Amino acid sequence: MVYIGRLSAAYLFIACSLGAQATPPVSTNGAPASAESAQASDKSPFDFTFGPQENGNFGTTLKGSKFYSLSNIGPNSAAATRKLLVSPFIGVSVDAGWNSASDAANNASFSVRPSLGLSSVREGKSGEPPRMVGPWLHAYVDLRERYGNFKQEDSTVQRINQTMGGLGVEFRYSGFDEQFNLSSRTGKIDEPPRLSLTYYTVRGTSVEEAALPDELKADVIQLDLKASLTIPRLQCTVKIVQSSDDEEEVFGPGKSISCPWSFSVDLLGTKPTSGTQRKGEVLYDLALSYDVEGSIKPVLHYRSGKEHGLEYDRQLILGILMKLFP
Amino acid sequence: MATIEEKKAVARALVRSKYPTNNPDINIRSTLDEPVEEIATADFYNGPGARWVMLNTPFLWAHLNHQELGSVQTIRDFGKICFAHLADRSELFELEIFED
Repeated sequence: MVYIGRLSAAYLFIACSLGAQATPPVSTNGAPASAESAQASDKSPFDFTFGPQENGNFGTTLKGSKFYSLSNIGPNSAAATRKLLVSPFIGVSVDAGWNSASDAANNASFSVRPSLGLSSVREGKSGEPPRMVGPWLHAYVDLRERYGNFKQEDSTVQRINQTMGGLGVEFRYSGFDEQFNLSSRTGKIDEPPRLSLTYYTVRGTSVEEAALPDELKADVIQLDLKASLTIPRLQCTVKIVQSSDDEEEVFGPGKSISCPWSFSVDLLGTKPTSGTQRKGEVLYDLALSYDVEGSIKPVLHYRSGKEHGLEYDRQLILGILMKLFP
Repeated sequence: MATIEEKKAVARALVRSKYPTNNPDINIRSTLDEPVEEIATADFYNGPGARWVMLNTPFLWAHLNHQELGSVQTIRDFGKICFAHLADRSELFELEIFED
C-alpha cells in the first residue's frame, strides 16, 4: 500500500507539473496559437492514462506510436510526376496496461514497424495544383515483443515474454471527413477511421513452448478497427478569428469552432490460423475524453478482453489522459 | 517580379490541394499526428506540389522538412508554411548574379 501511495503521489506530481506548463492554443486576440504551444500540447504521440479504477485499484495505460520518415523526395525527383506516392517510414508503437492489484494481469507490447504509406495524386483542374488523396494505405512489417499473463489449467497465472514477427496492411478511410463534412461542425479534422489486417507468427517465448496452450503458440490473423471522433454540437464554442498583420498570413478572417468532447475506439480481433484451438478473441479499448486545451485532459477509459492467448484485466479508469514525449 | 498577393494566392491554392475547405481555422493537428499523414503530406508538397509550382507560377518551392509540419495546428498555420516555402524565381536569379 505504501508503494501504491508513493506511486500515486509521483503521478500527481508529474500531472501537476505538466498541467502548469499547458498553454491554451488560442491567444487573446483570437489568432492561432504559436508553434511552440501547439507542439507542447497535441504533438506528443503517446497517451498516458492514469487514475482510480472502478474496483478500487489504481490503473494506468500507455498507448501510442512515433514514426520517422525514410524518404527524401525533392522537386526534381521522379516522384514528382507519379500518380501514386509511396512514402517509406519506420515507427515504434507501445501499448501497455498496469493496475495495482497483486494478482493483476498486467501487459506490455513494443513494436518496431518498417512501413510504406500510399497516397494518390489527381491532376488539378484548369491550372490548379494537383490534389492529394490519402494516404489511404499503410503496409508494414511488425517486429513485436510482448509481455503478459495467461491462466494455466490449474487457474494459476503464468507470466511470459514473446517475440513475434508480423506482416500487415492498414486501410485508411481518408475521405471520411470530406464525405460527412464533420470538420465544419467540429472545427477539427480527426484521424480517419482505420482497419488493419496483420498476420503474426511467434518466433520465441520465455517459457518452454511445450507447456504453453495452443492459442499462445499459434500463428494468428489480427483485425484492428480504430477510430477517433470529435463529438459535434456538444458544448462547442465558436470564436471569430481576425487575420494577423503577419506578412506570411494568406487567409482572411475565419471561424474557430472548438468541441471539447471526443471518443476513441480500438477493437482488436484475433483468430488463430494454426493449432487445435481456433476460437477468436477480442480486445476492447474505448475512451471518452474532455479537451481542456492543454497536455492533460480528463478521461473515462475502458479496456478489457483477450489478445492472442493473453488475458487483459478489465480496466475502467476515471482519470487523467496525459500526452507524453513530444 | 511577382507581387505578395500573387504569392499568397499560390500559397492558398497549395493549401486547398490537400485541405479543400473554406474555413482556415479548422484544426488539422490530429490528422497530422497520424503516422503516415505527416510524412506523405511533406512528400506530396516536395514532389507533385513542387513540380506544379515550377511549371505554373513565377515561384519555386523550397524543400519542406517533415519536422516543419510538427508546428502546424490549423489550416491557417499551414498557409503560412506554404507562403514561406515559395521562393520568387527572379529574386533567386538576381542573387545568383550578385554572387557571381
